Amino acid sequence: MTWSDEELVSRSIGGDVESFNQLVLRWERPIYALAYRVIGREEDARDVCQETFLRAFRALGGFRGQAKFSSWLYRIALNLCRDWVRRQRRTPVVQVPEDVDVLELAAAREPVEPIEDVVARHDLTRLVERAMAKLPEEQRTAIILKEYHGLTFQEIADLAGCPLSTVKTRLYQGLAVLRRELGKRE
Amino acid sequence: MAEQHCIYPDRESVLVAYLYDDVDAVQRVAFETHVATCEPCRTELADLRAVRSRLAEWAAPESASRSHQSPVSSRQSRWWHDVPVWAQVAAALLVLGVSASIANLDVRYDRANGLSVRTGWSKPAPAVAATPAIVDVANAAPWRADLAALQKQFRDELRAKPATVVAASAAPAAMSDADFRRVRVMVDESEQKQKTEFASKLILLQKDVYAQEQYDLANVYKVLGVSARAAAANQQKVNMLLSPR
Repeated sequence: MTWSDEELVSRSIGGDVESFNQLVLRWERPIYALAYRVIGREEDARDVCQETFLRAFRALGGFRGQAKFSSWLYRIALNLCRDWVRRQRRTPVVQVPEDVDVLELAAAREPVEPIEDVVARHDLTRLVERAMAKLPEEQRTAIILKEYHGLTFQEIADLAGCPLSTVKTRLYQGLAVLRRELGKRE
Repeated sequence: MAEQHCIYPDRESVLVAYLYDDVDAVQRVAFETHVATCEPCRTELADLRAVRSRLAEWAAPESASRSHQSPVSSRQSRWWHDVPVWAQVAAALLVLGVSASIANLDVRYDRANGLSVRTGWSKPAPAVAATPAIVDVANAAPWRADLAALQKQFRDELRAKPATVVAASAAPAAMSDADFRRVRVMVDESEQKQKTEFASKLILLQKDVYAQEQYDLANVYKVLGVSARAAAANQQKVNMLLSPR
């Protein structure tokens, strides 16, 4: 039988740790992906993911069900990501130095695997990462939540604590920047 | 910008909502009717759809998370983040070197052939006692002698074992040839599996070191203010000067 998130939360509050583990299994991947896209470092994204579930576990008693469990988790994760970005005081997304051409660099070395494979694997992701890195945090977060997590405009507004119209504006402005940045490289 | 010429009410908001298919039926029909006659909106909509397709290419890596074990398990520390990159690479090479010496690996790097790795498994182990003159530095290490002595003692004990069994019981005099062959096959299979696993790990490590090297090199170029193209050309010149004629 598949329990809903809310049922698993109730059982967890009643002391059933296995129910909470099921919630972790269900939501670990989305939370990790969210953290990775916001902060751009795998190890730190794992830490944020782990910390999100730890905090959720500790605060379960205070979860009243006024929001969806997933929204509650997203809020915890986003707060942790924001703390991480502030603490690190560094560019939030992994970057290769601007003036370096990966293809050229790979060609200058003696590769242990075909250059095409090395470059193709990283190229598409890098382009998007670099473009996303140019966005202000609130625009990037709005796009990540909409694009990769399928949240509604209202859910994003609730998470961000801003009006619905602001969310749409942030999305539009962010997409416009991406359109320009990705267009440059074509 | 061409889009600025369009004066559709609340244009940005409606366009985003339409783009994400999060718009009510009335708004949808109205906007679709407008788009049919508005070139700037049509162009922008197509471009933003293309942006969304590009965004779909950004996959987060597999988490391989530790939290599968327990959400309340203690977090592993990330102490190595504070270690400089050069020290991490040095440590990785040290591990590689130690692993290689234990596994009887022959790792070479030269300009002509690049990095080459040959395992001792692909050739018979040299008989240490028979060829003392060609024992290399690794073989001369004291632990190797101890290991050889231990192996000899172990073999002697194994040989002595069947005789003891014969004396103690009426069981067959010794392990039959079939048994020996079966054990041999099991040992061979196990050895083969270890070889494969080790080779896979070695390749992964090699890839990591290569990737790190590329990234560090890129940073060095950037700090030195040298373009990658110029650095590659210099490297080529140096290679030509150093290569034997």
